[in-house]
Amino acid sequence: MAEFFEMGGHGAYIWPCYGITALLLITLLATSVKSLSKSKKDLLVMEQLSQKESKI
Amino acid sequence: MKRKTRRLYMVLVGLCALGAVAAIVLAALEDDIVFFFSPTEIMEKDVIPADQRIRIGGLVESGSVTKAADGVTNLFSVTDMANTIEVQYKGILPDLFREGQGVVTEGYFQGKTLLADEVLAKHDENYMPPEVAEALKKSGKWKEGEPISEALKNGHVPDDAKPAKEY
Amino acid sequence: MAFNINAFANPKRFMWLSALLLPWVAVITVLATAAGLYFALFDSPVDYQQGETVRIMYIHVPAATMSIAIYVSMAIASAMGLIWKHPLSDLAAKCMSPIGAAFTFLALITGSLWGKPMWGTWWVWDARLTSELLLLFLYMGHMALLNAFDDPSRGTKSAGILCIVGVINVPIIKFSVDWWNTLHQPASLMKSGGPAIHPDMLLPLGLMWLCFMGYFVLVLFIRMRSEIIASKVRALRLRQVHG
Repeated sequence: MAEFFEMGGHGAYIWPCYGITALLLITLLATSVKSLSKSKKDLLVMEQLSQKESKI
Repeated sequence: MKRKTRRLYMVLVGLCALGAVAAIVLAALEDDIVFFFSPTEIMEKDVIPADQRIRIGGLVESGSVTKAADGVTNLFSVTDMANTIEVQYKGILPDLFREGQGVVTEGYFQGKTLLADEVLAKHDENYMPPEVAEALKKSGKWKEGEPISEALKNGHVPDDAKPAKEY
Repeated sequence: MAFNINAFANPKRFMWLSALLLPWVAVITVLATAAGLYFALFDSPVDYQQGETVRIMYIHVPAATMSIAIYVSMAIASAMGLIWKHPLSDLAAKCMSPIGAAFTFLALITGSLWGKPMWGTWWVWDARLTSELLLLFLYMGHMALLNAFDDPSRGTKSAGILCIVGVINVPIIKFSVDWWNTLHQPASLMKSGGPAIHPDMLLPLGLMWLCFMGYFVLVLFIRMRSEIIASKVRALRLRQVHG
C-alpha cells in the first residue's frame, strides 16, 4: 500500500497533480450547481410575486 | 449587401489579415523563439561572445559521458549527428539523462567548450511499458529515439512482450 | 454539435434539450471518471523511460486537448454571436470560458509537476509552454472584458472580438513543437503515422479524455441553464418595476 502511494519515488509529483485537478474541477462544478439552484429559487419567488399581483 | 453578410466578411477578412501578420512576426522572430540551437547551427555562427548565454540541444553522444579529474564535473558531448559540441557541467544530472537521450544545456562558451550551468533532459514522444521497449529493441524493429507508431501499427509488439497484468 | 445547432437555437428549445441530456451526460461522466481513474492509477503499466510519472500524462494531455478544443468552440460561438447576433451563442461563449480557463490552468500546472522530475525544471520559456500560458491569459482577458462595461452588450462584443483574434494562438500551440526547437517533446497522439503510445496506455488516456469532455458538457449545460433562468428573473423584475 505504501509502495502504491510512493509511486516509485515520484508520488510527490503525481498525487498533487490528481489532487489539484479533482479540487479545481469539483469546485467549478459546485459553484455552477449553486448558481443554478439560486437562479431557480429566484425564478420561483418572482413567479409567485407576479401571480399574486395578477390576482390583485 | 446585407448587414449580416457584411459582418461575416469583416470577421473573415480580419482573421486572414491577422493570420498574415502573425506569420510575418513569427518568421521574423524565428531566432528568438527557438528554445535552443543545434550544434550545427552553433558551428554556422561565426563568433559567439564569451559573455553570451546560449542554449544548445541535441543527443548525448554515446560513450562521451565521463567525469573530470575533480570527480564532480561531468563531461559529455552533444551531437545532432552532423556536428558535436563538448560540454562541461558541474552539478547533478537529471534522472532521464543518459547516452543517446535528448538534452538541452545552457551556459557560456569557453573556446569550443560549453561551460553549462543548467542541463535539462528532453524526452521523446514514445510511451510504452519497459518490457515492450525491451522486446522491440531486441527484435530490431525499433531503435531508441525513433517514433514507435510504425512498430505499434504493424502489430510488432510480440506476444511474450505483452506486459503481464501485474503492474 | 453542428448537426443539432438549430435545436439549440432558441432558449426554450435549449432548456428542453439540455434537461433531457443532462442526466445521461452526468452518468457517462461519472462512469468514465471511475474507469479512467482505475486504469490511470491502478491498472496501467509504467513507462520505459519515465516510470510512474507517465500517470501524469492521463491528466495533462486530456486537459491540454480540452483547453484548445474549448477555445475553438468559444471562438466559433463568438463569431456566430457577432455575425448573426444570436443571443444563445454569446451565452455559450460566456459560459465556456471559465471551464476552458480551468483546463488550461490544469494543463500548465500538471505539466509543471511533470517537468520537474523528468526535464529537471518546473518551467522554461519555450514556444509550447509560452503559447499555452498565453491561452490562459486569453481566457482571463475574455472573462474580464465580459464584465468590464456597464453595458453588457458592449462587453459581449469586445470579448467576442478578443476571442476570435486569439484563435491565431491555437495553431501556434499545436505546431510550436514542430516549427521551433522546444524542450517539450513533439505530439504523441495526433501525429502522422499514428499514435506513439502503447495501447495499454491509450485506454486510460481515452477514458480520462471522455471524463473531461463529459465534464465540460455537463458544466456548460448547468451554467447556461442558470444564465437563461437568471435572465428570465431579470425580465420579470423589470416588468414588475415598470409594470
